[in-house]
Amino acid sequence: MDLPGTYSLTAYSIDERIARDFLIREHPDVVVVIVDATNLERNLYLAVELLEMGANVVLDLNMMDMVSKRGWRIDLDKLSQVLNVPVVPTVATKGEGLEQLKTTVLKAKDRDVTPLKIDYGPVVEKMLSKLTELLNSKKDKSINIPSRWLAIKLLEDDVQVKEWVQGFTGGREIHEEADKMRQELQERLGQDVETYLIERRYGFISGLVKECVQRPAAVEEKLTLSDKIDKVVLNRWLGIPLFLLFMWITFKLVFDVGGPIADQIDSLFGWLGDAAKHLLGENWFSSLLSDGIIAGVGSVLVFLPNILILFFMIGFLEDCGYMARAAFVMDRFMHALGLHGKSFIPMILGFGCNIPGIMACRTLESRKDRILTILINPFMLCSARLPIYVLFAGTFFPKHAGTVIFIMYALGIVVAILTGLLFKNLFFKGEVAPLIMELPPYRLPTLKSVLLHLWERSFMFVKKAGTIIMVGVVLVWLLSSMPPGVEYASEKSWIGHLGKFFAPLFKPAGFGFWQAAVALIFGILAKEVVVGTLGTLYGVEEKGLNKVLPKYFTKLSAFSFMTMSLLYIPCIAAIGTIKQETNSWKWTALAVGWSLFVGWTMAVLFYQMGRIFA
Amino acid sequence: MCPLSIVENGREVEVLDIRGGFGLCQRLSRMRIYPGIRIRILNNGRPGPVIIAVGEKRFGLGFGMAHRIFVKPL
Repeated sequence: MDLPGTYSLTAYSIDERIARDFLIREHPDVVVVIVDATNLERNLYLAVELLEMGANVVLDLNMMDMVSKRGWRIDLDKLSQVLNVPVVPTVATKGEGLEQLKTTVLKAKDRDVTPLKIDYGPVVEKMLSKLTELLNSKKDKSINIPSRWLAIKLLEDDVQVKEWVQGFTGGREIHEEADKMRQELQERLGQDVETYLIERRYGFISGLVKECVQRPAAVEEKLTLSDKIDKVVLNRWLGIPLFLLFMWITFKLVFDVGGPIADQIDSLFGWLGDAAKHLLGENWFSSLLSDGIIAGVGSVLVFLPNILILFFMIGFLEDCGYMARAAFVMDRFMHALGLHGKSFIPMILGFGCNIPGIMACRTLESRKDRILTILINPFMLCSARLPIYVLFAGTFFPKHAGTVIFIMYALGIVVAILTGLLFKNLFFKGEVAPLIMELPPYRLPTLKSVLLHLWERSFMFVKKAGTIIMVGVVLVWLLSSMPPGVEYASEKSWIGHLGKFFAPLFKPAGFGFWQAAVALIFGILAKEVVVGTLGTLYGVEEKGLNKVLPKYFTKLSAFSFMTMSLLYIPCIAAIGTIKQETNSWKWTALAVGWSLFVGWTMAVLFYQMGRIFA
Repeated sequence: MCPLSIVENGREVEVLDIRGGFGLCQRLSRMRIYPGIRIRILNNGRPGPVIIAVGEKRFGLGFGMAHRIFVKPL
């Protein structure tokens, strides 16, 4: 019986279905699989599928003349041994080996056949063995097909096999179980189960072919398109400029496109707060609602457009295959700093906002590299801190404002690098994991997968950062409005007392007045708030601050205040993100404690040194 | 025998030895890089990353890594 020529045995196309139906229903004594020996990778697939089904296969490697012509050598014994089938080489066009084929087939008739088992990986294997057991207990004894094969097909969602299994007594139960497993697998694998199983099968085959076939090195094998792109992207000279270009584009999009939308959201929440106050009148509840919850949650959600765009870009760069390359481009530089090549991306992103920077650390596989990169990220001067420097540098160093701001950026980077080196030696002894990664071929990402990534990541941001900041916001609000009847956030409120309590601490740094302390405390909520708080506390508009501030700050104390606000405690949203990403209060506490220590020490150091020298 | 890091582009080599700890060897062998296997150098960015082809797959070896894999050019 000659069956339709097929590459595989799915239930999708009619010829494959006919072939499969016959093999299952008639259960032939011997199945001869004739494959083109010059293309074993592709053609062995069918044989492997048949072997999984438990068919009694004789493998006929045809076109062996072409194989020897190309100077290849196929180890027939090994092939036969691994697959546990008789293998016969033939040249059909010249009739060579046909006699041997005939005798082999006759001999094979009485062989004991054990179905081929391919290792599908621990997760799938566990499910398969469970399903196989279920099937063994329910299967009609007359059915001559291995339960394992049925189980595999069930996971693959094979229509025909599903129909059959439903026909068994108790088949519905198996069916439902298989459906559940398939869904779980799909989530865990992040891809279609059938595709995954097919890949594993091809993986097995390519391993087998590599073992059994010796091909002389082709002089000039064709470079794939992916290889050609890599020649440019990973070029010694072009690599870094290209990487910086991609980062710059990402940045541009995040802040130029996200910024205006963020402003809209900001004013929306401002309006919402005003409306709440207007509707409910001035009382504690409306104050909690508008000053506390709406303003606080608003200050987190304001980041959302930037974060959405950022994650869209990251998702895109990841899915298209570039992210893996970027790590290599920066690897050498980062190695010198004791960091992993991939750590560079989160640090760059931190300039925009530490939160996505910290979240981007997820792309680092090694826990140690991940935590280290997370811990140093808050020292990157984020855009929320920029208003502080614009104000202070503009007020106190009007001629050198740009330089002073640049010094702040540089200071942040230096502290980050030194912190990295210190923590590495303290907590993560041992060398940086040498970088070796698979470079997936470039491909155009599907919109669906990019959006899916985007949704997962940004939803986590909204949910977790939202809940944590809510608690913080209510706390600060409470401190600002207590005791009852006090003016919100005034000297006599609890936060005013708190400010006065902490103010002496900042005396050595040159700004030991309660307004500065309160501004810094509020700044923990969100760094944007520092300037606004100073405005409120000094009773002037933000624009009037450059007249008021020189009454309190000197050039020197202004500089030390800038240093402090650069380095001290990350904002609540960032702290929440650090907790979420490290999944440890210990590391979170370290990030907070260390940054407070460094910030205070540096501020005091600058102030005192300045006093000595000036 | 020479380290992978000095092999020029386009050459096919056989892996002879990996000078690294057990963990490294294990990681590499999971990527099908072990003594006896043949790999092709696609892009040696000296001293930057080395991109190699192992069958259809492409791997990047970071700075330092390519010094530890010793190969025989074919």
